[in-house]
Amino acid sequence: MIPAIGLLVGIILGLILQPTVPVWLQPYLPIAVVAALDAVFGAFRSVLDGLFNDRIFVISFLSNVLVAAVIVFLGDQLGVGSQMSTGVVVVLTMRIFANVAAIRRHLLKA
Amino acid sequence: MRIDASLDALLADALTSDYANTAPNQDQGRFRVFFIAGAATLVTLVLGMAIAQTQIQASENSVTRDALVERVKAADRRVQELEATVLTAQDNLLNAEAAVLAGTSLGDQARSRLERLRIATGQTEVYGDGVTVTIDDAPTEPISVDVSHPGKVIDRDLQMIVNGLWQAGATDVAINGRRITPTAAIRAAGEAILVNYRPMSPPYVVSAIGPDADQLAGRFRENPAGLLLEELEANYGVIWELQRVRNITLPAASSTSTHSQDAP
Repeated sequence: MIPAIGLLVGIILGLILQPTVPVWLQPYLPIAVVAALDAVFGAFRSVLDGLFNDRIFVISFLSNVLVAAVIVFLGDQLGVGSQMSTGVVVVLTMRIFANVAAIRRHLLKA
Repeated sequence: MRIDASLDALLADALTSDYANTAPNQDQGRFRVFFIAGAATLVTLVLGMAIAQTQIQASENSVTRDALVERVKAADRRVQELEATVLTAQDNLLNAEAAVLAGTSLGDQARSRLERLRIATGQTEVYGDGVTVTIDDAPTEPISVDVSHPGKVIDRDLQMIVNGLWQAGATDVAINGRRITPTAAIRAAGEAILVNYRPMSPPYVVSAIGPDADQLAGRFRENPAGLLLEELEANYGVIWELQRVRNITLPAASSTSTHSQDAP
């Protein structure tokens, strides 16, 4: 219950405070969002599986954001930044689908 | 949804749950719950920030756009004022010229010669019977965001029409109320058609005055420009219309620059 409130508080804080994102960080924000969604769905799935581990939740989120940012940064330096972002978004989105499919099997048995 | 099933072989590793090979937490203390809540807040904070950022960006973009539109409009108004000034100045010049040249036979000769040249170079207002050719882009389905829109009227079409009208015997031509002089240019700049460096927007109304309007319309239909228009209509759905009109007035050209350039 309290973690769910945390999720809500996070969105509302972000929307109300509107923290200014530095310009150099802006290209990585969409990627961070998809990584965040992946972390949330993965956590929800693991709760249903009875496997939730808070350490893994935090570390997987941070490392996913970091790796995704590094990949896109490298891509930017090599001139293929947008393709790299596409690749990162595709992989993370597929993970989200896989997680949602697992959640669905748990909740709806379908 | 069979995405996970069909691509498992390819992406088995990438798609494994992060939690697959680890044990769940054993201790469920109060501190743990708040730790998770804090982490969850952090994770969705990113989401909130991204949404807020996109909204800020969108509002900034629209402000910038509005400012640019306002500047373009202001510049347009200024151009219109200056054009009006040019036309008045030309009128004054004509009157002064008439006053100077009146009376002497040499002056009369010069005047009639000037008159002929002015009509030929589009520097006087003319009126008479003629034709108008109205042409417009083919209607598009709003869904299609295709950049290459084949039914769009391009600069070459307008050039063909103007040249066709000259060929059919027109003496004076104007597009959307702007006089075409012998040195006028019809060019494309991106999406827009420029006539004498002024952007035109569809529908384009090409008006022409000629000694015999019936003959003008008939010849226009049969020359390459008329055939091109029929082809454009048949193949691309371009809308066009040829009309005979009585007593139309074509304005004088506002730009009368006479500079010439030598080949380098």
